[in-house]
Amino acid sequence: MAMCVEDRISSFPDHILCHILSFLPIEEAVRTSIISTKWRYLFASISTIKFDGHLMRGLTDRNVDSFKNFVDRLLKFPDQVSLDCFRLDDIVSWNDKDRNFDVSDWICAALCRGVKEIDLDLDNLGNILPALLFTCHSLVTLKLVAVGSEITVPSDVCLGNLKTLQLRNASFVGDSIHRLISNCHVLEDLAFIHCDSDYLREVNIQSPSLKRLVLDFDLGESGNLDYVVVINAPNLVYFQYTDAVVEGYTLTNMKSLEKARLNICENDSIDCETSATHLIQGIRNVRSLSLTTDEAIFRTSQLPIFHNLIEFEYGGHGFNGIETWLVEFLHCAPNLETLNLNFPVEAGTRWKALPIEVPSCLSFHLKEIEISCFMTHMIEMVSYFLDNAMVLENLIIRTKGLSVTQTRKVSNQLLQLLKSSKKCLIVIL
Amino acid sequence: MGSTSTKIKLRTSDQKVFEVEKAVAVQSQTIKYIYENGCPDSVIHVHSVSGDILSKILDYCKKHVNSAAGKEDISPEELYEWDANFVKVDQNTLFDLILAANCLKIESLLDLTCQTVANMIKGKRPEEIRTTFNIKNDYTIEAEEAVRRENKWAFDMLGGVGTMVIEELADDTMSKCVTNTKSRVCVIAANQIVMMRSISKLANKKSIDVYKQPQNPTTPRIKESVKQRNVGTGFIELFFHFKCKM
Repeated sequence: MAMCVEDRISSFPDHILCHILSFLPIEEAVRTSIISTKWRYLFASISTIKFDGHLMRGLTDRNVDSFKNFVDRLLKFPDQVSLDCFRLDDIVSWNDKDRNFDVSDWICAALCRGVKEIDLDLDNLGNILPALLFTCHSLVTLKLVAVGSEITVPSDVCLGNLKTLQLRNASFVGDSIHRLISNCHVLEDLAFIHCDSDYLREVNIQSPSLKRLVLDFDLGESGNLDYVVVINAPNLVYFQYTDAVVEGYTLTNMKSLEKARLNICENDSIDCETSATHLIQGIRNVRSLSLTTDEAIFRTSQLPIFHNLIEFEYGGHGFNGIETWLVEFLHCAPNLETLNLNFPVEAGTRWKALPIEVPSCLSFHLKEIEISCFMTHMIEMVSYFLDNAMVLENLIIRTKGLSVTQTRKVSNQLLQLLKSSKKCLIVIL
Repeated sequence: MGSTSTKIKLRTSDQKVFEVEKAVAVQSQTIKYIYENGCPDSVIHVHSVSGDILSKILDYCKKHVNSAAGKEDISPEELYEWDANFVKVDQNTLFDLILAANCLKIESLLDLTCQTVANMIKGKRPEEIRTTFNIKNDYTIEAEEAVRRENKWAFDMLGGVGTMVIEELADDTMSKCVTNTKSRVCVIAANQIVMMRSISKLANKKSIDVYKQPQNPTTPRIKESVKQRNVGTGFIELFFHFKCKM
């Protein structure tokens, strides 16, 4: 890149130079102090402080004191601007080899500087988190990865400005989850990912401010499935749930829900169908639903009518009788406009002679169908849709699993099929 | 009425006038504020931005607005590529874009341009940084020593964990190795030099520095203690520490 003739960069306002430095690993940001006198103390005003495993591995033993000294000056110097973000991640162990970093102290210092975001990915997190963290008024975002560590939530927890909370691999006892969430009065974005449910009796989320909720328990790999899920979130717009079906679901007041993403699998130890049906009844207001299951997990006769559903995506490994199940589901979505299918279809399935009526969405509303992973014997399924989807405008077929010759053969077959909708355009990708 | 095609007029420092859709113009928080708090029909002056720069900025805003609204069928990866090409400009233009993005308060553009400058600083020794930006070193010898002492931990870091590719590997295994390594440095064995270009390309995306194995392995850049780890598929990753005197 052509150089400037003069040194323009050193005349940038300090805050822009600090912004540039915030994109560098911290050790490199500190090294810029040697460039010229103008750059000497710029690094001290960066608003994002991140220590990661790379930094740890590069620090030699004889420099540990120099580093500790640096951190103290960085975090605790008076008259500092408030911190935007403090992040510690990919740290294998910060307290080995007599390095003895006082991580709790660092976190407290960041909190005292009015930090807005804290991201921690540390071993033994449960023992390191200072109680001060849970009463911090400046925190807007909190992300914790606490592999194998139990997080203790103090009884006076109050995070008045917290909008985003993300907890990964954490384990909770008793009603800590409930206590934590009910004391975050402006919480909008909540995610529990791969958390340990061993000691849970219930996941109770009552939040008038919540807009996005992700509950990802890793399809039951995390252990116990003996708990109930209770959600009351009148402003919830997005709900994502991944787990084996658990003991019970009580979803009330989901009137704002627009999009839901469910990835559920069977649980042999309970009355799975009833439980799963309660789950799906709870989200019946959605406009857009993405469902991934491997079995006919809901009794279609118990399905609610999804009046608002205009977009439906269904995926999984397929099962016996999937055609009938799918068409019965479509009966419950009278206003569906877009359908996206991503499951394998066995050869010889009975699309030609389905024992049920054509769903009304096909006759009146369905405009777009996308088949994500087309296999040659899906022609019958495509034929069924082309015959019955009266207002279909787009049929998109993705053939990533097929060879070029196969794709060409399939294209020819498809283009010869009769279409009930004159406007229908077939797109093969 | 017709809010989808409301236009806003902008006049630059060199008196050029641009008429743009409101949705595009209000990507700038500054313009948004002026528009919402002033007369909607009058021309908004963007004093400190020239016509050329504003034109580029409006391209950026338009691309991002269209992609977010689904008007343009562009995947996140394609948008990322577009952004990467957008900042392939000469240094003067890049700096103009930074100052304009700052003044117009377009956060994503400011982040993009500042990240670009950060990439020009990353991995370089101070002298190299000075050359890149034509910065004069105005430290006295004593002052420079003092700065090195102040934060000696940063000037005396181990280069970190390196990765050496030593086996004859197929292209995709090579890609997997570079994609999955946590190292910041990759050293290519003397007999794998033919791979240098394709590895460099991949490595650049991950900000990984690529070196050729030096002829004499005991040069000051590479230290002892090599640990060996077999990561399967016939690939052996050698971890070693090397000293990077900054």
